[in-house]
Amino acid sequence: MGKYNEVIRNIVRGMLRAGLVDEVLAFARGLTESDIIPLFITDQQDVDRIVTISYYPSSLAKLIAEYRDKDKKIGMVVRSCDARAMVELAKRQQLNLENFYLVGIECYGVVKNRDKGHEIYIFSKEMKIDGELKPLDEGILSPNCRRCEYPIPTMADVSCRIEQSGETLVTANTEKGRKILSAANIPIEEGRQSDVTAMKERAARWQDREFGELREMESKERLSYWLSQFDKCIKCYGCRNACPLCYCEDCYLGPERLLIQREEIPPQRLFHITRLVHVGDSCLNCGQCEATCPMEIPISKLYHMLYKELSGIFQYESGLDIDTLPPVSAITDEDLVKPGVDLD
Amino acid sequence: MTKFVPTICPYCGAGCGMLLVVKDGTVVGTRPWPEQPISQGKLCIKGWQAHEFIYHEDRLKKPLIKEGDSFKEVSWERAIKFVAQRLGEIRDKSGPDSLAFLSSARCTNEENYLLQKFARAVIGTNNVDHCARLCHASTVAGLVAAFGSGAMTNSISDIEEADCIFIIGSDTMSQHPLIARMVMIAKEKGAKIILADPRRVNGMMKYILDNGLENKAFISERTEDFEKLKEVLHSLSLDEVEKITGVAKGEIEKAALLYAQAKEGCIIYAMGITQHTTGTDNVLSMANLAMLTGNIGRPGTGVNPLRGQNNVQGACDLGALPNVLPGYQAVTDDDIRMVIAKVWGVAELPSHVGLTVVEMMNAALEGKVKAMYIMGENPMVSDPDISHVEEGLNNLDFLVVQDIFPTETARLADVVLPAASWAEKEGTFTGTDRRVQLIRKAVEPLWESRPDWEIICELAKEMKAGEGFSFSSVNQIFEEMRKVTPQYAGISFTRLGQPGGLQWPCPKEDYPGTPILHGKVFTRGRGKFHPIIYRKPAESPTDEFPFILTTGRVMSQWHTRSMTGRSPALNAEFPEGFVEINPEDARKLGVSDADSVEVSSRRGKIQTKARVTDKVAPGVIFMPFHFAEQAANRLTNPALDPIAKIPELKVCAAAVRPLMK
Amino acid sequence: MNNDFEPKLLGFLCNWCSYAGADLAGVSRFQYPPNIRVIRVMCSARVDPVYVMKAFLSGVDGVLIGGCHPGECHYVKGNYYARRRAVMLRKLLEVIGLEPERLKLEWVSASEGTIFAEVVKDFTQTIKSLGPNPLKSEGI
Repeated sequence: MGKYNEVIRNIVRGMLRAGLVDEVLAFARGLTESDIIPLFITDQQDVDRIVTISYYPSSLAKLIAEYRDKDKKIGMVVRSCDARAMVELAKRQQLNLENFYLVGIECYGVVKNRDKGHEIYIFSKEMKIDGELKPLDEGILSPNCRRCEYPIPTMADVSCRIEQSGETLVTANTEKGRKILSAANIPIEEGRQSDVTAMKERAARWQDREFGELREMESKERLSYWLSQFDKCIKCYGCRNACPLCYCEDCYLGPERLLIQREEIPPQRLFHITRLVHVGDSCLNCGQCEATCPMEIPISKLYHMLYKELSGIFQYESGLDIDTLPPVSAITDEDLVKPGVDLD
Repeated sequence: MTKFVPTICPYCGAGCGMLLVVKDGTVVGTRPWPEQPISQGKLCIKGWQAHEFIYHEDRLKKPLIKEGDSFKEVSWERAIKFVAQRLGEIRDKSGPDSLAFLSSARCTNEENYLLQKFARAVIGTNNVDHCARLCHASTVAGLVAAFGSGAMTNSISDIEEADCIFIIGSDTMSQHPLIARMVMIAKEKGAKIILADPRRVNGMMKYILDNGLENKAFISERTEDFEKLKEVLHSLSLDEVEKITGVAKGEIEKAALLYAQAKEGCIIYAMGITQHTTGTDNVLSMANLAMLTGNIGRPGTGVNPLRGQNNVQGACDLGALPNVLPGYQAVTDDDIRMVIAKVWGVAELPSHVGLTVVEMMNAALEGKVKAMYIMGENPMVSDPDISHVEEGLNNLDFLVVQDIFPTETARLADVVLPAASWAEKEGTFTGTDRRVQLIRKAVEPLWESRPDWEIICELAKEMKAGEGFSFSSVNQIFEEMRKVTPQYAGISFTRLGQPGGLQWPCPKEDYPGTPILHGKVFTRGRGKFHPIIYRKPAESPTDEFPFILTTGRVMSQWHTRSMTGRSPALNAEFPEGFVEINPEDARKLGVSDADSVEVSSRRGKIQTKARVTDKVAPGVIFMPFHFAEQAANRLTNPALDPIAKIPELKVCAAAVRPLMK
Repeated sequence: MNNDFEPKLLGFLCNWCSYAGADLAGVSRFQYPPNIRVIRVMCSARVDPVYVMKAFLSGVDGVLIGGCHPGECHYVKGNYYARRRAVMLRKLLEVIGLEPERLKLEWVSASEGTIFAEVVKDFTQTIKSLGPNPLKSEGI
């Protein structure tokens, strides 16, 4: 089984040919076999460049939010993190999901560092490196993936599972999904269940480990830890630029807003805290902030930790349901009858 | 339709890769390029905002000819004709050496190659230089003498394998952030980092020698002239070093021990070493230290100058220097000249060494140089002693400036030619670790601008020398280039079509490139030790000028700000010039933070804002050189290093006085 | 615990209820510790959580947000938003390594002068026992 997946390519071909979409955004082969970059595809030849190996170097939802053509219908080949990002962006009025045809890939993690030329597929408990199946080495995964609880892109229109054999099983989650599959002449599988217990167990284990480690620290120690991490910052704004939830044109962090003092490297700690306040309640744990930080600050660990805590309190899961609004920005009917200063 | 075009960053010499986002023919953003080995999916703030300046309304749109006090827009035809005519006239009347050329460390390799070819083959002069003279000329001179090759010995990626990194004279975090990242990764793996001031190195070496920590095997097998160095170090005392440098003996000893005992010791340096009248000596000291401990030729070791500009390495490699032809081949070598003349189709090439940047300005003032052609450089902000530069340039009979923006230098020109930016053309850049990489055209040249290489070819044609300049593609230029540049001989555009390009030397087409130099032997055979003795800077503090003024950079601005000054996000982070002054000194002068002050030196005076901070030691003041309105270079000293001719931009004597509010 | 420690407290009080309540405490001469500095806002919803964090990052030892009782907000629902933000902020403080008790949200109506004084007395004591903002020694 190689880097390219025939079923997914056929789905994309079908969407384009049937005119369901004007273009498709996916990760694809760039200059060489090992070069993987985002690509907007309209040409059937370019469809052949789409890759499905376990490597996901930026948020496609972010690229959509920043650069898309607003009057086009766009298809995307995404993993659950990006599918959830699309839902969150739609909630925030940044796009209309009606115009997007999401082809989701079931994902059990992607690698942190891409060993040049190697083809790596990550499965629930195994990994396939250049065709050879081995037990999964969780150390090669992106840290956020180890904590991830959402392998299945249920919020995408179509969900594809790539088996170890290379066989690809496809389900439609929505009416649009059915249209996509019929355009590609792919039979729709009903009632297929994917076993996510191993993934959830892994997520719990790593969350306990990484967040537990932080919780067990004395608060002064924890504070010291985060301050020393923030002090590595070179104010490249990469985290903000990479985050799919950050779309403000007039960003709080910019020097014109007069909040964060200019001419300071590392910037005030308020730089990171501000972003945490703004996106903490909805962090998708996509890990792109951490992936693009030149100074290896474990940003995703902090933001995901806050999100998990808030998720419990507000009973809110980010990116799953377009009608559930972000907890800090919206009140519910229940709020109106609670008398106290706390929400419990 | 939106495209992601892979290219290389136009700012620093790290050579990070990026994807330019092009929407319907307009560059709208920049994104990281995950596979590119230097940036690895990350960028600094300049990289993330690299696209911001491209469409600024200040972009030079049409050729301009000066009439009286203002510029008039003219056609390309007229501009080229005029320039060709004037250059020809001056060459014929006053001789080829009455013309001087400043090439650009920001233009591509092909463009640098063509400009030096033009100067030598069409005009007949070796008066071609560029801003490397102001930053790493001492590196080139020093490392050539010590190792045989004047370039960074290792690759950026193997810095993370060092277990001891000695950083000296480099504010790596601000200037080469993605290289600082490698240092940080090494540190998180347990490496020890030593940060130092240029004057302490002899002290370190003495300690190493006195304690038998030198790598005797390496010294005997791979070096020569060790005895000469030993003599100098022998007569040195660490107490003396402590006095000169102001660093405690104990600290020097600790640093020496760490470096000498490291398995993989790596030296990283930049302007703090090179921009001195002793710049070449300082570089030679680095080489000495590395050879003393055998820290050469392996991953994680080496002597690593961090080249500033995106293509300063390439500009040097391709011969935009007065003493060498492409490939660092001496102009004085008759055989080399003959070979290259043949390839270029000319009878002969000029044989005596030409003028360097500061010498050109002096010669202009004296009337010896009558015409200058300046491509992509802004000496009116970047050169030392700006008033002197201004006088020199104003004294010329003819000045042509070819640039993308109307710089401070362009305003003095007789003809201004609009060039295309890096996003509007093809070509190659060579990064600080000798990495040759392709830049790709994202959009067509804006307005009536043209790629620099096209302009040079047009000019050559107009001067009846078109045969050597009839290139219809950048690839063709590269193919000719590599015929005469041994280090690039095995590189081709096809081979460069991969993230990360190729590192020279690459002598043959099946050769994979060279990540690490001097692996088994030095380029010159044996590494040569040079005995170095401390010399004071040209200017020391006096009663009238009691401060040492040192200059440097800030994170979000790049050099003379022609691009970053026109990038809103970058400019907003550091919008104005300032002078950093120690709280003790500020108190004595009655200066508070943000006060207006006048900073003066023997060369001139400027007004700027004070920043009271303990980042500078008492007796020292620091100014970033980027800001034309608060131009630090009005004050700096054009005193030159005798070998490299690099000016002492890092030290001069200055005075500060508060201005009335 | 340092007995000489005098905390610096910030109070964001909504114009219609809690600020009026504080005013009432003042004219009625109900005593409360002088450590609190009051910033009047039109509604507790106006309190930008980023500014609360800015206060803590500048070394403020405690922040009190005063709003109207649920159902009594002058702008109908503002206090509900403030409540959610306060919940979020307290978690954020905890995750970062600051004590969540340093942020307090309280409902105080315009007529509740004594309650305001009590709230401030209590809060000042709480912060006194927590000690100074750890950021002061860590480096702000």
